[in-house]
Amino acid sequence: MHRLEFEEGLTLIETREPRSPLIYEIVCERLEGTAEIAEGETAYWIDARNAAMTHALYDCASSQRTLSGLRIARAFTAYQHHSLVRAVTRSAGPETELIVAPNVATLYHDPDVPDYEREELLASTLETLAELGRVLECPVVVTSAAERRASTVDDYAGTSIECVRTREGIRLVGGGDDVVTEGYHHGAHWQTTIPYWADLCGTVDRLDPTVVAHDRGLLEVRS
Amino acid sequence: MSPYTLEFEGGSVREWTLTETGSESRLVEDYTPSLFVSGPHDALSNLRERLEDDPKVAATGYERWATDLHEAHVEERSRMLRIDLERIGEVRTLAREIRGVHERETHAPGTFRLFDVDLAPGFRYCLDRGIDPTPSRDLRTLSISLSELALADGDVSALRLEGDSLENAQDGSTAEIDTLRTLQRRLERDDPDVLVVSHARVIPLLETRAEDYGLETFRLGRRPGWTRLAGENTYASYGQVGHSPARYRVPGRAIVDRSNSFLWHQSGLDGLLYMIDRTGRPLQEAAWGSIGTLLTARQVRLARDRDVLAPWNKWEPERFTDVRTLHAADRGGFTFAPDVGFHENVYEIDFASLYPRIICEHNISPETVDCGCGHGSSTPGTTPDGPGDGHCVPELEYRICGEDGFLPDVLEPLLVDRATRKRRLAEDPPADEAARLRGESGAIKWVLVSCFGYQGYRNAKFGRIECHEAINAYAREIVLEAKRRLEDAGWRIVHGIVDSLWVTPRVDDPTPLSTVTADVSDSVGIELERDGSYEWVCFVPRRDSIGRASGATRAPTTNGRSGPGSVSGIGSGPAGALTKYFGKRREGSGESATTADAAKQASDDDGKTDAEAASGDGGSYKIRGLECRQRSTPPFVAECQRQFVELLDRERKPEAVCDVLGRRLSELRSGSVDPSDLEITKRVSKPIEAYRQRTHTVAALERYRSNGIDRSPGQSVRYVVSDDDAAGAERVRLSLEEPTTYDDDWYATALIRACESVVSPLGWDRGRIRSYLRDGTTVRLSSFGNAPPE
Repeated sequence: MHRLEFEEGLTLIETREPRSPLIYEIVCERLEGTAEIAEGETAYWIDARNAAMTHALYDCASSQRTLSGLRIARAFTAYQHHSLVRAVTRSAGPETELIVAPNVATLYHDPDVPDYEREELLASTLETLAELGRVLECPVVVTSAAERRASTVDDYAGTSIECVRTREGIRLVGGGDDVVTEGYHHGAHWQTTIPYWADLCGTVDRLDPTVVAHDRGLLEVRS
Repeated sequence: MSPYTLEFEGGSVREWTLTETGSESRLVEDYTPSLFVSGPHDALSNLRERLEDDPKVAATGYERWATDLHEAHVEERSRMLRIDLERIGEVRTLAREIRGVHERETHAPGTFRLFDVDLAPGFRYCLDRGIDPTPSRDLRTLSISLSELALADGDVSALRLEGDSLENAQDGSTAEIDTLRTLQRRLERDDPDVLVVSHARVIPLLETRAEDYGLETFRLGRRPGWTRLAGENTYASYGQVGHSPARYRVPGRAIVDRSNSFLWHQSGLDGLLYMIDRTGRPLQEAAWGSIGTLLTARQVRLARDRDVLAPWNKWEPERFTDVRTLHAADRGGFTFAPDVGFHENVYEIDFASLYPRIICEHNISPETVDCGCGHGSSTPGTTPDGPGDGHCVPELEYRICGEDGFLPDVLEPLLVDRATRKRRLAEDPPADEAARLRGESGAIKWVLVSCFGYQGYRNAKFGRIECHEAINAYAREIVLEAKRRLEDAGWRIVHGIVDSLWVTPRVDDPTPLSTVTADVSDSVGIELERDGSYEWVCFVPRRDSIGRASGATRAPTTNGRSGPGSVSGIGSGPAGALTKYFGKRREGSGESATTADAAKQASDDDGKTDAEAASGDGGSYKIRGLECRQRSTPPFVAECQRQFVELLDRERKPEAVCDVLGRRLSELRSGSVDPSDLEITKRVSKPIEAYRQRTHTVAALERYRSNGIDRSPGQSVRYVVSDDDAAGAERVRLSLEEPTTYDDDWYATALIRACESVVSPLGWDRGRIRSYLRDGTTVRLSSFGNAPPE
């Protein structure tokens, strides 16, 4: 099965918009099938800027059951956001499969947060999230749609992935010097997956990833 | 007698109390305001030690208070560090230091939660000392105004007192000195308690000018001196940019800045006095407070009664919920898409104060939703058995406790006050009493209107998103129940938004509306009232949907279909704009003009803007969302549009409306329209440098700048479009430049658009208007020949 795999620890996805459809895909992919094997709360969504659109989640999940382990809480201020991150440290456990925090940094840049508090509060939030990923050995996926904020988040993230729009759809590109195409996203469909990509295709400048993926039977289109 | 205005000087407070003839003051030396900190015990004692040597701190101690409404509700208290300060002006400074220095050096961010930090000083003092700052006798006011241009020029001689300009024989400095002396005599003679100034900046201007001229005895206050309280500031709230000008005080007199007082603007001194009583904010602080600020003040005061302090920042998040609950909760109010077109025989009915009544009826409050306190809340799915019992919110799994809720405590007295005032207004009281009642009723209305949105507002001190959702869930249930009963009784809903429904008979002989509304009121526990009765109503399509139904059977018939219901709007027509409609009120017909209707009208009209009042809205037409209701629309265009509406009523044909459009266009083209009738008022949303597009606003801002006037975001600009094709600042002329010409093409387009709004419910769009104007001469004459059936 070709799944969008994330390593444990903090992963930053630089999205193009605050309500990126990617995050729904990631959550549903990860939770697919977990409802059968685990009871209770298996994933936490710490929301900001109303990214948690429930109808989009329902559209994306193969069944309502998929989402039964997901718990969502919305923050409207940086203070609430930070409180939610702390709340997750108290309730998450070995059964936790995934933690997502879309637009993780955005509330910290609102005018109601004074400058002297901004950086440290955000740093504390990110550090806690990264630590959660390490301790729980589960992926913690955060997104940021604004470049200047992404750099702060990047300091704490083990992995950074950027969304780039191409003719093929949205391309996910791993950060760092050796740029790797890690997947394509066509509206509601994933074409391929990160680990396969990295292993089999190499870097984009040498191969056309879509062609290679197709040749190797890796293209998977779900509906 | 309690003071009505207060001044803080260093570590002391000067209280001003009204006497029969004037006012007297008393200096209070022993006031040390407190802020509170909660956190782990060792962190608090560490903080206490660190503050020992801080000269700002008078004393510290531990006290038990509730950190939020929930804690008070479950009868718990937290141990908090109380820090008393020497000076009221240093509360925020210390609060910032606790977070920015003390917490930062020793603890993780968010270790300390601070309380009672951002309270206005006068309000805090009254709250701490149990003072009711409501004035004890009628207030004497003096209105002092200066035009914007005179203010920018620093020309004091243009001063107006009570609206009258002062007759100055001389020019220049002699005139200025004369003006200041006249003002001085007036202040001495009348000894006003309140100065109502056009702009707060008038205060420093007058004082410094008097000083420049060596007028040593001149003073605006009851003692010499003046103080700047706060600098000007630009802020964003609810997605809108606002501007609050600098604030000043003079000893012994409260200042109302007309350019910065929502309450004064909406409901005058009467509304202001009512709000002082209900919020505990002294006059000057009530005057500059926004509705949200006033509501917060009332909440802070009532929370204090419950041992709950006011949190500084909003730390308390919502709880984690599953997707299903969130999905059910995250829906707004109910709307029925408007049936675009011309409808005859329409009634508007609405639930009076729906949201606040839901809050009171169902005891919705931050601490009653899912409180888990063990008493007063029942299990899901059960219905209330009696007082004190809880209940479950429809569609959501929130349980609501039956115990005495905080939010209902805040709102119930306001609802009662408003109902009393509406009833009294319906009895046709003497004019001065009626004016007072309207002022008060208007002020209450605004607070009630905002209380719901405030629950969802991110920084509401006592807001909780779950309350917002619960209120919405009840509102949906109530409106759907009303719909069901109305339809069963033979009525059809042509439009509905949140708390209002527009209905028309669906069958020949429906159950009388009053019977159905009484039935609905009984069943949902909130009164459904008749709000208006219309000969006809037009629902306007959205701009992007105009003309889609051109040629469809949308034209009104005045003879053919005499039966109930309307002639249009069935099936997949154009999409309607939710809040754009206009209609003709039915006059004196049968059941329409009930006293309740009249009272509602009287009190509702009060809260409207000048533009609405000028539109003759109290008369026979109700217009919402059209250009003529928008502040930015030039008076000429607004007046033409109202004429189009009247024409539509008389002729019931788009052609007749376009004929008038044609005549008004010729007027415009011939240059005979007074440019002052073409003035546009726009609110500035950002600093001039931040505009990317070269808009009219930018051009206007450039001209203001060259006239030496600064316009900040949140303030308005007024201009006439002089040449839309020109470059930069040449495109417009400011009103204060008294323009003599205008760009007739540009205004013609605006006028045609205004006409389109009126005829678009009948399926006409801009293209059809233009082609009719071009080719329709013959038709035009014939349409005048056909007298419409009345």
